[in-house]
Amino acid sequence: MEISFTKEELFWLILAGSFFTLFMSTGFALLYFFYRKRLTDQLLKTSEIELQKKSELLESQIRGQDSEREKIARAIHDEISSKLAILQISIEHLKRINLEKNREETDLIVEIIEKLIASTESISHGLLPPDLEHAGLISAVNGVVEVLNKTGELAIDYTWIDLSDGQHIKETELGIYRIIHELMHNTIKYANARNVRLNIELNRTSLAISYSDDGAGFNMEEAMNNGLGIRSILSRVQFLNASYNFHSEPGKGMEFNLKKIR
Amino acid sequence: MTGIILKFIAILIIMLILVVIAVCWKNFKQIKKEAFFIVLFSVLALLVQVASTTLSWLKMNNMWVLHVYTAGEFVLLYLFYYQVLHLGELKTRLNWPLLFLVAVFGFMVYSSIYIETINGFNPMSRTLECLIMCALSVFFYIKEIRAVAHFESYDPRREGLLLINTGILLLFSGQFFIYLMSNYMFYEMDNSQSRILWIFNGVLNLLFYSILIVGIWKLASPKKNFSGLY
Repeated sequence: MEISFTKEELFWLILAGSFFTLFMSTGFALLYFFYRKRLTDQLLKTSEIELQKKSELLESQIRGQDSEREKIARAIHDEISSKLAILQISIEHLKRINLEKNREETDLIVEIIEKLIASTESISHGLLPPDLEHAGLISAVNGVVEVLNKTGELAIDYTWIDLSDGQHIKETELGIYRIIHELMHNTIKYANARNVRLNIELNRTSLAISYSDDGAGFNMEEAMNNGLGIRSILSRVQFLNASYNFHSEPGKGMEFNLKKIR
Repeated sequence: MTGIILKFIAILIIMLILVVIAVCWKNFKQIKKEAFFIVLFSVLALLVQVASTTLSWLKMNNMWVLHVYTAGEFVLLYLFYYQVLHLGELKTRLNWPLLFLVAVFGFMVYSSIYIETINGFNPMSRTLECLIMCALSVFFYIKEIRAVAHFESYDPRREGLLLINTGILLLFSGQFFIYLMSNYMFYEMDNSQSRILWIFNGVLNLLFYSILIVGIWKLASPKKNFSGLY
């Protein structure tokens, strides 16, 4: 039996067939995108819960770390430094009583104690910068910048605006201080940069920093996966609940911006 | 009227292909890894579209261009899928995915010379191409959904490839019936009716190249900036 079509029927058959296959493939593609979105949302939800748990863990770790650092810094300052100072005074006294006797040895001991005091102070300041506690973030960062600028290896252009009316939130400022510290550490250790620009804007409602260098730059994806420094910075950002923007490309330096609503 | 619309669509297609090539040219470095064959395909499409439109305006037979285009398009799109689906990994002692390409290409050439006439349509080659492309496109979707389900690392560039794949599926599924019946359309149907079907085919092409532009644009993806609000 031969099936024959009129021209009209053939036309409608081809048109209907074409629309049908197109409709089917469009439907398939739409269903696919819909299913994919649902699946992605589901997986995202699961990973968000995991991330939340990790954040809480991270938060308690950072809090614990900071609190331990503070305790150690205070212990070094209150216990060791003060006792070393007493020891130094005692030996100075001993030196005066004994006059010429064992002078060389006592001089040497005094010199060692002076170095010990300097070292403990340096360790204690590294753990908890005294400026940060007493004068705030801008002053504490200024201390670090002055030291680094004096070395001549790095030129840091440090600017700031302080409209905070002296209101300091210790935890936030300590977090930001540590981020800046880590950024500088990366610049010095890996970037081989000559110039750094750092700007801090403090006001009553927000705190913003902008940091850039003209160093070697790096591949962001690789650094995110392998760079402990970058991960540590981002952990701190996460802990602060701040928004950020981080960009670097090999040979093009790096730029980091952060804003925290106080 | 339908003739004017067809000419208008032909010009629009050439313009869209030019945009595709411009986007490829601008982002060649970023897209060459995945979409090198799409770039070649766009160049082939432009050459063929210009040649067939010119021959048509000169009232010369341009059917042989379709035969060349079908074979070239099949090879380039197959190689695109060969790359993005990692078909090379399926090879055993013989690289059968490549052997399959050679066999189909050989069939297309043989069919153009000995089975179908070079100055007429090539429904066999074209239909076979449509089927293979639709199958590869569905295979790509399956592979993508498996990657998402297994939580493989998310790559925003894959969004671009997904769009290109969707464009290919829509084009070839829509064209399937038209090319399957192309000889009937040419010999049996009224000119006005067949022109409506060719307009439909032209619109499919416009849709395909528009999706291709967005897909390539997404594939090129802007410079990576890591930012976020925790």
